[in-house]
Amino acid sequence: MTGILAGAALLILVAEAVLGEKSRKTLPGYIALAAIIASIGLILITQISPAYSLTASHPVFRNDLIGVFFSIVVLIVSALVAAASIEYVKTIGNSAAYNALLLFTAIGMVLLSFAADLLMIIVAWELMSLPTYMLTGFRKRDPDSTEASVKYFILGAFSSGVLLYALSLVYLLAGSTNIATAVTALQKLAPELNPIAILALALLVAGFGLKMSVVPFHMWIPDAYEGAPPTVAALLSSATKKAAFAVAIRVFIVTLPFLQLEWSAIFAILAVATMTLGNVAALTQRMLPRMLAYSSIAQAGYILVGLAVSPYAQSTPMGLVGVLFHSFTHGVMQAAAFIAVAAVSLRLVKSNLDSYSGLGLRMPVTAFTLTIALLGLAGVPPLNGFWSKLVLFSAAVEAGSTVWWGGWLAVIGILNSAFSLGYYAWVIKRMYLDDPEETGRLKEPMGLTGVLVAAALIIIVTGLYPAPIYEFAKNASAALLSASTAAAPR
Amino acid sequence: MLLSLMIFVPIIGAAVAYLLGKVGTKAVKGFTLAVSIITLALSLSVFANILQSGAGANYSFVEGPISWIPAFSGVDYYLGVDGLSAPLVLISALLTVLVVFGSFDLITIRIKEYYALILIFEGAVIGVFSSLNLLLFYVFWELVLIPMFFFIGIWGGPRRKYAAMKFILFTYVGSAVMLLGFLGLYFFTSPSTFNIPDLARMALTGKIPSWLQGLVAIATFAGFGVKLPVVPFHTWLPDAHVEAPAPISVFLAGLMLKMGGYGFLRVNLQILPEISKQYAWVFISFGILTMFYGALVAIVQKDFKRMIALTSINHMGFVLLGGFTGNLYGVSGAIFQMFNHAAAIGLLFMLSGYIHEQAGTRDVTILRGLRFTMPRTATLVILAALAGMGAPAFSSFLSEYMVIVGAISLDPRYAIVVLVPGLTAGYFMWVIRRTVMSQPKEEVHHHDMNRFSALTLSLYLIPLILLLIFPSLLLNVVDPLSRSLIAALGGA
Repeated sequence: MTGILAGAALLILVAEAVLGEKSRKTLPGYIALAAIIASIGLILITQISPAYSLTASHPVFRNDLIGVFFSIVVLIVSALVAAASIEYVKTIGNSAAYNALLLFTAIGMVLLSFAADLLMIIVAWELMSLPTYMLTGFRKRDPDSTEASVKYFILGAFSSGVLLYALSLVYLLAGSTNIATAVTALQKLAPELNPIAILALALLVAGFGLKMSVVPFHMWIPDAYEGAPPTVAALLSSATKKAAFAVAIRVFIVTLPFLQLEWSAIFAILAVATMTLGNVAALTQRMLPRMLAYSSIAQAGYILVGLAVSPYAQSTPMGLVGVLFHSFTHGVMQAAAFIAVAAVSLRLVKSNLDSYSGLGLRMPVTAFTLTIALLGLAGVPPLNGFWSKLVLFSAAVEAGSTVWWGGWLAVIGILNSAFSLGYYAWVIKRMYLDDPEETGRLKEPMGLTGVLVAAALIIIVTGLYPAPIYEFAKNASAALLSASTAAAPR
Repeated sequence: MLLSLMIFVPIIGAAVAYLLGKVGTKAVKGFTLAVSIITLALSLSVFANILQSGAGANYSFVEGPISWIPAFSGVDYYLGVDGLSAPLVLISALLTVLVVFGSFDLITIRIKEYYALILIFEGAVIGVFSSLNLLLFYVFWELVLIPMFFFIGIWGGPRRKYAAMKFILFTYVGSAVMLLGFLGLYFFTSPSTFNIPDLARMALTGKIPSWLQGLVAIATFAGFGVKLPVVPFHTWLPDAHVEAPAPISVFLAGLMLKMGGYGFLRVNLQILPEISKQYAWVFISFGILTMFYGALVAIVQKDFKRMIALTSINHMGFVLLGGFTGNLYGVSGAIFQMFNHAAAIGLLFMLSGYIHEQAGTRDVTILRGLRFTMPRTATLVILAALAGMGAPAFSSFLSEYMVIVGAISLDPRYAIVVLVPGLTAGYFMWVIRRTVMSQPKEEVHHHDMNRFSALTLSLYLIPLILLLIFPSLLLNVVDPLSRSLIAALGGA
């Protein structure tokens, strides 16, 4: 399956050399989209067949449901981005390079979802990250884009270094790069090595946290999302961030319980800081991409709630289910919001919030789908964002019976989520209640609105009928937990 | 099936109404009216059925529970109506028809969006009143907000944007906290469930510990209290009501406030009986505070519409007071009051809309001599004021009387609330004297409303008169339920 993606990426590069001027503009986009959709199909056929078995593990990759879940999420988002880019990239040019980079990122994310070896994690992490640095700076004549790219690259490279150091410390402690083997070794860790374990934990949080947009490692995000082309911002906030969560789950949930550290309380503090800072900062933004960037930080905070309370689950691993579920819903919603920004930016020169005034009349489809996405992000039922937040906060309430801060985490989370409607509704107010500076209907970019309608349909349909995804997430989480306990019996 | 039809025919009809916008505004209006009349017919048949069988204490027309998320047990699609919800479903369907009539004259822009949102609102409100699962209830509860945000924000008055944002933030934060209460209820009871009948049964057998009841009561107070509204959570209400167009104020006061009252009766009395009994005085105190505050602040208002908005705060205080008296007079009176208030306040808001439309102002100190310039409107204002002040000409008298009797029989000191109808009558009389019975200033020519509007507005009075003469039409549905609620509270 990664073969398809890699093949398509190479095909695009070859096609660039062979093809004429005209087909060069759009054909790479279609090839990329087709390759991504083919990969989704392939995963669905091979992995959800009855013959699937959890034990079919490879030393470097774990072929499990968590990997399947996250790879589908990142591929759906990549498909949305690729489809939206077909039209958007026409304005930038160099479509072949863009789509090839997009596919390489997709390969990196999929590999990362399945990676079960520390070395593989590093390799996949880099494969995912390097193309995004270039994509962020893709509008090379735009100083904002270049600045964003450089900023993102420096911090990204730094985080890769931190991560590499952290994983080498884990290797030092565990004596193996395979996570499953490492778990067994870590159980018998000598107590005097604990400081090293703590150092490794802190560095891991910092390394992953940068991509997961956890406060205080979030500084690059608003600049990068604002400077990057909106379709790339969609990819960054909806897909690469989710892949980072996938690997974080593997490392933290499976490994950390054996380190005997109070890591969940640390995650709870990070969650509170992340969502509160994200929401407060989002309230003051004047540019929609920046607002969405801070909103994306806040949403990462909600996901962290799930990670923090995951050890206290009772019958169902609700916290973990919430992490998976929200990764999916937030991926689709955030991608839809950024693609709507892309659609607007094709028609309006300015991207500050004032220029969105009256958009409901000027670009009705874009405005409507953006409204659906924003309401979903705010967690208004019956959209899918409501259900995933419900599961996350339910997990926190449930944890309240075990740890004292569980209930408070739920209270803070729900209040944050409720107040976040303040800025989401503000955008909706702009679009529908305010009078535009210039009137006149704008022609909506057909390709982008098509993608937006598709995303809005996903948001609504999985909101009305969330059962399959919930169940998938539940099975995946249960499988991960049972596998991790089976790998290292206490 | 009947209840699902009443929820989803309007919601799906909303999409159709929007698409009919291409055909013409007449088609949209006609279609919306037809859908709302069909829904009214369905709700009448539901109500009549319960009235006839006398099964108000139990749930009728039950659908489900059908598992919504099988892996998340307790999240079910579960509908049903009893003596508490049937009258509210009926008044929702009735008010929607009347609001559609009232909007023909008063709403002139963005017709297709408006009527589509009206139908979404109707479906969602009926969903709130007929959900038997707390999570389903919450979904509909929030779904009500979205149309209302746009109603106020697009079709509202000069400060509509401010009012719309304030409205949605207040109510959304309140209901988020309420959801937290529901989650607590789910996780700290076993077996875990969101189903209201199951939770009520657990409450009866003492399986919901009182500390949990207390926490849930605090959390849900935020949700229900903002909606009802209870002073001090009421500050969104005058702004929202004043800025909303008149037909939407009817929805706001007539239906949305009832959601708060319904929540208090359904959740607090049925699921949290211990707290509702032990701390009844807290709720009653809030109720009395709300009544006096609403009445006293209404007195000093110059804007007719703002005055009515504050009146409805005062009237909803009766619901809170009556519900927590824990005796038959009080509880039945509270439900009766919700029904009456919806009709009476609806008419008053519509009249304020017409007066504003014709006279260009709602300022009571400027309006003069309506009986000469707008005789039809003037007549209706007098009748509506009588209904609003609880004069014995309409059934609102009965319900306020019942609540007061209920309060006094609980504790004679609560007799102080007798003052409230007096205050209310006082300011309504003042308004009538100023605006209707005075001499007009010269050279004022207002157009009176047309006959059709007068006729549709008189429809509001029909239930009020009918229930004054035959209160048993409603009370026979309500009383069995009130008895079972009171039994659950451990009262006589």
